[in-house]
Amino acid sequence: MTEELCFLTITEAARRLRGGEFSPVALTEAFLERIEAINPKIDAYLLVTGDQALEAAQQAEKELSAGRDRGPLHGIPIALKDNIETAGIRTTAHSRILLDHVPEADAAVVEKLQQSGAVILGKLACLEFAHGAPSTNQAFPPARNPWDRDRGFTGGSSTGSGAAVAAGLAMAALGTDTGGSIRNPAALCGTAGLMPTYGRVSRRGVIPYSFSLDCCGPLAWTVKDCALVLGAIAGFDPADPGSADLQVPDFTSQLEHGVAGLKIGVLRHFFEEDMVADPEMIASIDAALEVLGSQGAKVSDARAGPLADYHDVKTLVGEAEFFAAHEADWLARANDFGASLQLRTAEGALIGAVDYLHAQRARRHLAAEMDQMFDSFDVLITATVLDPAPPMPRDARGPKARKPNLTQPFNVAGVPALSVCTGFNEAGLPLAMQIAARAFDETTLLRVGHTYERAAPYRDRRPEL
Amino acid sequence: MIQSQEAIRQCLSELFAEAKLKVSDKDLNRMVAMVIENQAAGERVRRLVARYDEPAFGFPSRRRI
Repeated sequence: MTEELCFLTITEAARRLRGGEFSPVALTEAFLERIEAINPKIDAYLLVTGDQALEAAQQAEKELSAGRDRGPLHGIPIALKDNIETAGIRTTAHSRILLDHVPEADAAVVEKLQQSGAVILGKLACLEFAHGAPSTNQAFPPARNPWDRDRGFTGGSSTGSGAAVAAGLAMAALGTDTGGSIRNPAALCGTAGLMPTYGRVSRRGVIPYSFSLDCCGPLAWTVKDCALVLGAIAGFDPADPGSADLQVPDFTSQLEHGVAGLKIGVLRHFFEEDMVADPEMIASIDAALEVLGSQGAKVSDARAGPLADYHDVKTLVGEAEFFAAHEADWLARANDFGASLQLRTAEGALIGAVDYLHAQRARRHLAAEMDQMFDSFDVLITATVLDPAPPMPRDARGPKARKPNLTQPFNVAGVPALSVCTGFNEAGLPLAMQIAARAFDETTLLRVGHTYERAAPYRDRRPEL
Repeated sequence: MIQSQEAIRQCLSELFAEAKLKVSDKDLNRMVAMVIENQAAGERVRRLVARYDEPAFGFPSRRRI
């Protein structure tokens, strides 16, 4: 019964909760039981807030019984990446630097989840400050990929978010994304993962990596569940200077509209020329495009600027802003950073102001060029990652060779992008594609992802743990 | 502005000393290489910007803040 409850989608659980088949307390207890049994195998959670979760579940139970329905997340167990602040609950960003950090206030997204009646199960592992790499000198072990927990990396930086959702340890999780940190773990762990438009979701109370690139968004087993979570956390917040003062649409309103007549541009040069993806990854994306074509979408190749242009901009902006955010801690306590960030943090100090400014100028042009592409296409599709889950990186002190990745272009452009599972390779590891849409058009993005997901057979398979 | 490799090494050494980090020659060399790569990225970004006609770039109007 526990496994059955924990593998429900949010949509299905919400329906059955209201049908009286089980209660929010029973659902939460099932998750807490499963976390206790499974988490030691994958280290997705840094902290389980069982007592608070049960209290929230009891409250949800009372409210639903009394006819006060807060919507689709009411009574639904969700977890948070540990760079999202929680009042009275330790928030570490997976760093020794913040081992004693107990925030006084909740992040905006936590307030919104609580207002929607969600049950928060705990705090999830991530790469240090959403930027480092796993190392043995850290305070917590790295999350492990539930599809290959002995050697497989989850992708980062929302490592625990991808692992927990795939393993049935949360119905959804929040992650953050500065260069791919929601979509990479979603791809490597076989979940859906949505980076919303820059400014759609408040970052108040999210420990920063890069002020002008950071986004917060959901990972869930299905695209529809991502739409439900986005609906709960989106909205203007004057306390976040990047927040957009726009109405929040019903992100589920067009999910069942299909893709007939939609124009899909395929950024094939990203994963076949600029970088070369694994053949099984390419084959799975081609198969997914065939599915969308068979559903009536008009699929043709598209061309953006080279990946390297986006990579240069993201590196200069991201590294400089990371140093700006963490300079004081690094200078005072560099030896408490994990092996990866101990040295790498310094590179941001040596990015010149002039280079940073030119990168921000270039960014505006790249974003405008991408906006123009959406005059011709409703969505763009490319790979999310080049390869299935690689081995866990360990103790990489200092810098490593950096290559452009496939997720950064959409961070640089500030447009929403979604990773969707497109099957499994011969070794049983998840494959994925990435769908992007024009700024603030998450509705179309989710519609395409949902249509594909419904037509493909990949949501019935879960990792064996 | 591109700095010499030696100037970058000196700058990084001072920074690591200020942060009380012991860094091997091998790691320092890797960091120098990364800074040089970032400077090359800066040069590429300047060339990219030069391709565009940009009437103005600056702090956003107060009305937009």
